[in-house]
Amino acid sequence: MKKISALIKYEVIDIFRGKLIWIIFFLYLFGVIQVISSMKMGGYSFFTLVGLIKVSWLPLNFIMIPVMLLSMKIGESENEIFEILDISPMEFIISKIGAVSIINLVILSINILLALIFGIFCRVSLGYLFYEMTGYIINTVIFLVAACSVGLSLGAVSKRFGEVIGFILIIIFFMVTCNFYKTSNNIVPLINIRIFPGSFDVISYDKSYLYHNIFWLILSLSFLLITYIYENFKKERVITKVFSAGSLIFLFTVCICLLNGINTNKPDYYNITNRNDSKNYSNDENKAPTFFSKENCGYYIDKYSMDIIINQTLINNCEMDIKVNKKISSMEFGLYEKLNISKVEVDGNAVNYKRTDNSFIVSLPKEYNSEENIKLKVSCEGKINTCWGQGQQMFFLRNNGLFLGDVFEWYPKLNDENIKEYNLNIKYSSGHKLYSNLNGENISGQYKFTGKDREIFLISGNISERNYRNYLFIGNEEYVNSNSKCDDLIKFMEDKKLEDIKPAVFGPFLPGGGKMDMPYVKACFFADDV
Amino acid sequence: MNSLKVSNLEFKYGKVEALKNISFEVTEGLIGILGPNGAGKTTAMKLITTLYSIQKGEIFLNDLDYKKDLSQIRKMIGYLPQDFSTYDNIKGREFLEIIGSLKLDWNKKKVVNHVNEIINKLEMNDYIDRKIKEYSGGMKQKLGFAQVLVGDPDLIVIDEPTVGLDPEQRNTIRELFPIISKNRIVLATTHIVEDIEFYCNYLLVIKDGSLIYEGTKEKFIEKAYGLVWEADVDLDTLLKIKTANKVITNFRVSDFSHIKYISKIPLTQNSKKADINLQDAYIVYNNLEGSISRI
Repeated sequence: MKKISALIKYEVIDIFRGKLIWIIFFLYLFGVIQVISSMKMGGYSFFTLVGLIKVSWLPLNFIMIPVMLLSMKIGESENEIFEILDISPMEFIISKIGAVSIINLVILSINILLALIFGIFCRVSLGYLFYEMTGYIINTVIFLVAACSVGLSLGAVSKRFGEVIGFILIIIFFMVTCNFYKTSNNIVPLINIRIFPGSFDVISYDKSYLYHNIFWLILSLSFLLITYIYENFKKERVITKVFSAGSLIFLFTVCICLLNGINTNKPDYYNITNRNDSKNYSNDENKAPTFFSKENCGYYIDKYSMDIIINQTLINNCEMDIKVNKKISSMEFGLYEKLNISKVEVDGNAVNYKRTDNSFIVSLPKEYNSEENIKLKVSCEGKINTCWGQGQQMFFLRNNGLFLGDVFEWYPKLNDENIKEYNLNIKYSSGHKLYSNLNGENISGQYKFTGKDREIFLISGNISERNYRNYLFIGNEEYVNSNSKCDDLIKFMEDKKLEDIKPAVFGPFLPGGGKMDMPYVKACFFADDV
Repeated sequence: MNSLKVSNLEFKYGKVEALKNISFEVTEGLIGILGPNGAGKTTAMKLITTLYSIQKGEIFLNDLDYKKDLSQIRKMIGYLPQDFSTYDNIKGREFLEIIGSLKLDWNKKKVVNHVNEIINKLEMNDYIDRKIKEYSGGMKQKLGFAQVLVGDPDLIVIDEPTVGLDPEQRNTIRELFPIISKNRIVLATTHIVEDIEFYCNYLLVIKDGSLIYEGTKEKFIEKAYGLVWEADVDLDTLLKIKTANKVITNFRVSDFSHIKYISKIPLTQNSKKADINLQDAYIVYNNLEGSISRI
């Protein structure tokens, strides 16, 4: 241990007196300035913790290359004098990791301090701070561990093949893993921030996020192991060689499994950007992103009764009272394609149905005429995890939160403009409260929502509520606690003559909102930054 | 009395033989290892300093076997490589203390005191607390000498200690030899004979991987005596001699030259046996293959 400490001291003294550490400092500072600038929009500043976290990749990406250069320098460091001092290869590599870890700890501390300052400045609650900062810290740690491990490994490469090769590989690694020009749900970029549109939340704590981070941790460990094996394989005993090679194979196997896990759990792209344009959708080459009933289709839904269980999946037993106003022999309803239908019954009898992309067509057992009623039961089950432009999280369902928007076919619907009566029983046992545009009550995880509206939305997660100027605001804590934000929203609603809306939800952004007719006229207003 | 014994040492880089059956035994004092570039000096040093593993043969330091007592032996060795370097941003004192912490199982205070003793001994107080990047070449090399003394080793190995230094710095470094070689074995490899000329009392000469001489400096010179001649020659004669023989020195004096040349027999009538120094003897070794066996 004494030798390791001395070697760490040797590396760290040089680093902290070198120029590279200052370059890192100034680049980080520049990144922070950019972050703060990004919060100045529309002529005024709105500083939030989520605003910081949303672009927290920026300072880290700025310092990525110098951090890797620094690690490479430590990785390639060798001195013949030390080699005769009876220091084992393991002690050497541990000391290098130790030296890099000290630099990482300093960067991590500064990064945490920055978020804490924002948290204090924005007066967020402790619970909220902890929730938001967990992902922020995880992202920073993964970034530093991966960048430094690769840097250390490239040190061994540059020792053998020259520093130019090391520099080139650093640039390539940066280009592949930086966040500057892409967001993705796969292994890159290195900092995984699948943000939510608007102000709802920042980091998606889902399986894909977990696998992504474990993948990079294990890959980093593999890089270090490869470096160790590469530099010391000949010197080691047979048992150590076998163990090292076995560990490497095991780690790569885990990486492959994780890649598979990331791929399986990544959100599906669901484009609703041009939703209203899709109303006149006629191009057969592409899948219709959403379903719209045809005008005067001969039937409409009058009443819904749904028994819903929400955990990792959505289980919905939906009963609809349908009124017929024209002679029909089949009906079509929108339903998200990942929701598998297990049963369709018309007036108590099972009937055939045909699934299309985001809808299903029910073949009626007989022709129904105007003024007749149909009782349609549909049971469906499935996972919902969608994203849209730039990989932003859109509609999703998880233990710790959900957002099922009104514009989205998460239950059988027509997307028409009729007002329907709803009666929902939802079993949702998350620690977070469930909100809807309907009136509801919660009895120990069993929610009952009733009321009339065009469509329904459900929302839950790390959100708060606040009563302000006779309105109930629901949404991200920093947004609902901001008087200016709430005032803006009230002004917007008053301008649009929507004063009767009392609960207002700061939810994920509604794409194409400008073109859409106003949803939730009965109960809620659903808004992004206004 | 410290002793280093090398028996039948052989080393190959792939199929290339770098050392061929080398054996010698030395005790305390400055031992110079001479040989041209590529002779195998550095390979021998790396084996003696434990940087390379022994392929064939044996080495013992104070009866400790390199193959069995490696850990113990490493504590007894100080090594100054040819291209001694360290991080530039570190201070000399810090570097020595780090070496102390790596080499010795002592507490920090004892290491600090020991380092102070070395600094005083080598008279480095004026600059030891400066960053190494502010050191001259000579100061840096002196720091290298200081670090070999850490832990008071029984064997010090120094590889080409004056390469890249100016004449003044060379003299400063050479003056350190008697200081560091007191009560210990110091092996100094060099191809610059002046480095060891004044302070070395025992010589090992390696050529093409073989040890071609082991003994005192005086005996080495003595054996080359009679193979170096001096004469005053005109330009034509000088050119004739140069075509087939090695001319060691050539001083031009008006219309003739005073030369020292190597030959088994005198080449001119006015030639006489020259007084030779270690440098001359070493050149004889490198130029008269036939005479080597004689020596």
